[in-house]
Amino acid sequence: MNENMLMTIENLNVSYGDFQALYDVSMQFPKGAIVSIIGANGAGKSTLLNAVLGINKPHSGKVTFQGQDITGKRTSTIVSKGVSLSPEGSSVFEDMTVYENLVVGAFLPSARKKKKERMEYVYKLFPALKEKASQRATFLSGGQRQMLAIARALMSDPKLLICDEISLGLAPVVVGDIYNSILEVNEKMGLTIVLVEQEVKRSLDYSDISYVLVKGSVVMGGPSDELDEAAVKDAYFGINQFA
Amino acid sequence: MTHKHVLSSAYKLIGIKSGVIVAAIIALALLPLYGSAHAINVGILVFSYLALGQMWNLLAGYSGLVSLGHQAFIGIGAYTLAVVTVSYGGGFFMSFLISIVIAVLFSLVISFPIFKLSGVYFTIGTWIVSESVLMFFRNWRFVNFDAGMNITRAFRIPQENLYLGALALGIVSVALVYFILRSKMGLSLMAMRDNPAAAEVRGVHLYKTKLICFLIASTFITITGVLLYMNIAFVMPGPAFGIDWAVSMVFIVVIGGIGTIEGPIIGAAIYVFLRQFLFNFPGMSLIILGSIAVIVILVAPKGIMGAIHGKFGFELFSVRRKMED
Amino acid sequence: MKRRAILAAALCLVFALSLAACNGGSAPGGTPAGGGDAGGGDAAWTNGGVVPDREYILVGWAAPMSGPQSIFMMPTQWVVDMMLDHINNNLGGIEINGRRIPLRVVFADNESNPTTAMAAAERLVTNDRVDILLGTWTPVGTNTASAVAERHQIPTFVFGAPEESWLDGGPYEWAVGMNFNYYNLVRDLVNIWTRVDTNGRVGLVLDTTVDGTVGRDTVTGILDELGGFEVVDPGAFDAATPDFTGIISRLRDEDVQIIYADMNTPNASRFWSQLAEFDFIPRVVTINRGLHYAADVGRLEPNAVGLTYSALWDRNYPFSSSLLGESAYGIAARWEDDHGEHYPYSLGYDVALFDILYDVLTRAGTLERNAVMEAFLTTNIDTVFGNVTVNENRNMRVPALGTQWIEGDRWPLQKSIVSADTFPFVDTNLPIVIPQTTQ
Repeated sequence: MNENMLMTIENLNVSYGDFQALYDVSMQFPKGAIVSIIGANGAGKSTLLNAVLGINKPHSGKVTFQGQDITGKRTSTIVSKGVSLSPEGSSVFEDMTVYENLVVGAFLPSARKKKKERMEYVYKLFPALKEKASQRATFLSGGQRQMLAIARALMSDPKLLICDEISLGLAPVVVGDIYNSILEVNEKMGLTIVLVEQEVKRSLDYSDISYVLVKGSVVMGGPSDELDEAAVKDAYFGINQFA
Repeated sequence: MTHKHVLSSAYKLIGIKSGVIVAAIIALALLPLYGSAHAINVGILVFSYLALGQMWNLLAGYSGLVSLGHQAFIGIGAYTLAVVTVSYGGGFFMSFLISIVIAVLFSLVISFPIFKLSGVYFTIGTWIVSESVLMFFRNWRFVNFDAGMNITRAFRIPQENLYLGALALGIVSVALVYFILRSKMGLSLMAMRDNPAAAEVRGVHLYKTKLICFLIASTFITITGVLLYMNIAFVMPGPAFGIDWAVSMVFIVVIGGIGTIEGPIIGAAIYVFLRQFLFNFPGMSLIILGSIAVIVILVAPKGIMGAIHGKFGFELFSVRRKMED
Repeated sequence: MKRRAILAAALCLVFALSLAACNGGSAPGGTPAGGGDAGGGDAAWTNGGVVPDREYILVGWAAPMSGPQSIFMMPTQWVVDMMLDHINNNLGGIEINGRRIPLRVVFADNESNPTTAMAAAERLVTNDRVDILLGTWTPVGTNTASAVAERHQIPTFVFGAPEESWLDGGPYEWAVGMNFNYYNLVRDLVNIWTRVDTNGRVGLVLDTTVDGTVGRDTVTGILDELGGFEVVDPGAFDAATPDFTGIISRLRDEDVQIIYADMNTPNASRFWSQLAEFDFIPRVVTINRGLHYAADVGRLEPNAVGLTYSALWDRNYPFSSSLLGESAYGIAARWEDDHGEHYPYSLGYDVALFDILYDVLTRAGTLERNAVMEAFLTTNIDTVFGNVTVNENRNMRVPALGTQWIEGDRWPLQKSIVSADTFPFVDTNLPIVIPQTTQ
């Protein structure tokens, strides 16, 4: 097992009844890297994340995290090992205050000890959240909600942060700010980050390694600076057109 | 600073609130000394129904488990009381203990199949469970089939004792829900209710959390069933396992305000007073209760307490987490 | 966290103490009868037995005014209006403490449901503070009111249930009943069969409800005692989804000449028409429980003439109301004149109630609870049920007789008493009509 790998996915197959959603997906997530997973709607990105987080059980294949097999483990177990997801569509707990959202972020016993410290950290990272701490999340702007979702994911002191579709429905300027914050987390804390995106250019620009997922299969993968944007777009759209 | 000022007045308010609550509990506990027999009688009903409503609130309002089958637990409590005291000559305390054991076992057993269902299927599933239990009791010779049992031992319980028992159940039900919500489990309940998918990826164990709430509510409703039948003193399967109980629980919670601790208190008081009033209008009770429910749902969809909270921001029992510092 | 734990512990303690208090309030010893001294205590929660300061006598009636049992209430308002008018206007009230004061009745609907029945009776006692509590029809009405009677130590009169079911909740100290005996009811139905010439083969058609099950035990017990009968039991059917075809062909194959059925009204009419479809109507068809009302029986297809049934009261009882001085027959005729339909049997109970109430209150001469109770227990009065007295079980046992539906003079069908062995006061030498038999 490669010491440098935080997480590896090997030959993962996931089916819903007769429908197979993932075909032999293999990916590698080196420690400290930013890895992007690029794919259109329905390419299997959410299925992949759910399988990694133990929400649905893979048919075959293996997910290894820090040298341990976590395939099909309980979500709470996987989260406590250090995998943390900022869900798609910046889904926050609308009726709860920003503060309460963050408290839920540190829900597991493993995270609760460091709650205060982490709270200070995310407030520093996203000062807007501190100002709105006692407001209900439903009153936040789109960008602030996204920040809250990421901050909440950071509350459990993860080793791997998965950000599902940060740019969805946000203004480019806002997305840029959030991406910069993520870069900061990666650089200063050495946190391994997975960006799950539809947008090709930004993903390649911000990540060290990229995988392109099309109809449940990895069609391209490798260091982001070696991947040609046009080729990725071709793969992405080309097959999409026949879909 | 104004910030500090706001905080200190908030603490003052909290102080006043707990003072009011303690004073109210003392006043209620002393009711037998100054209240009329009628007030005590109404009090028994209000607090018993409060306990039922609060537990249904925990299920439907906080755990998303909309059950129309918890009358099964009232019936189980009722028959435990009847069998323990009549068939075995046991006491009331023994009845309570045994009913708790049966309730926990029974809710564990039924939780396996019905927790596989969600949403409206869960609701129907619970109902089917309670109807099946009803059928079982109707055909059970040991409990005298459909003819029912006289809980003769309960005939001579002084009303004050029933009142104190009901009061304790009512207060404990409110306190129980309050403490659950303030606990770590409360946090997972609120997150689960708000956004189950997001809660799950934070490590909230949905199944376990729901199961614990289900166990607590079922057990408490069973205990309340024992107390209710110490008052009613005559148990028949149809009414003991009847859907009427579920309807009253839904009415109390919906009218008062679902997902609020104060809601069932208001709802139970309104329900019992209405029922008292409706004794003089035979055959009208369902029509009138139904119309009131419809009007409240149209005018204040979140119930009376939901409307008050929306308008004035007032809560007697706040389960909000305050920032620590 | 610590504070929270302490609070929780304190609440649990309060809870446990209150439950212990409940426990302490139970009847001493194992037997309910041991609670005798409970009645003597001056109970603060029942206003210490203090008679409310009122210029009238208030009777509270917890009754099934809605729900499936509301059919029993058909004659009630008519009887109450008539009786109160007679007592208060013609007789000038009832003499209490030397003054004649009027009698009033307040109702509370028990919705045919014991939960409501209990609350209704308690409301009458605690809120309306009635002088006498009434609880009526089936154990739902009688047993709940009797429990309230014992808890609040208030004179209570209950009627309209099988004596056996009511006594299951006894012995009572504050409740007095006017109930029929179920065994006698079935006994008189069996007596009808002995008067018809048959091969003695009895087919049972009973459902799985308690009535069906108790009915089987009772009727087979009586037949064993008598001897000469042979029981054919095809097994119980489900009342919700009855399928009589198998049962009827079995009875026909076994050459049954007496059918004893116990079922609800819809099943009774289905069963009766299916018998006709099978062209198998034996010499005796007795259907218990479901056919109390002429309206139901009148709808039966084919015509129900000859069908045997029980009666809990009948206008042919040769008795009169002591209060009205009018015969059972006359009162029923008046009801029929006013309503244009066959009288309901519950009429007799409602009329007898006022005969008894007037007599009891007059003899008591006070509203003091113990005195009223004493007067109830020494009742000896002529009613439309004949002379009633209280037996050792605190019950004024009233008859339940075997009757038969025959062609009527005023209505298409009317009842005729054909068996009264347990209350031999009426002429039962009337001919028994055999149904339009196929045998």
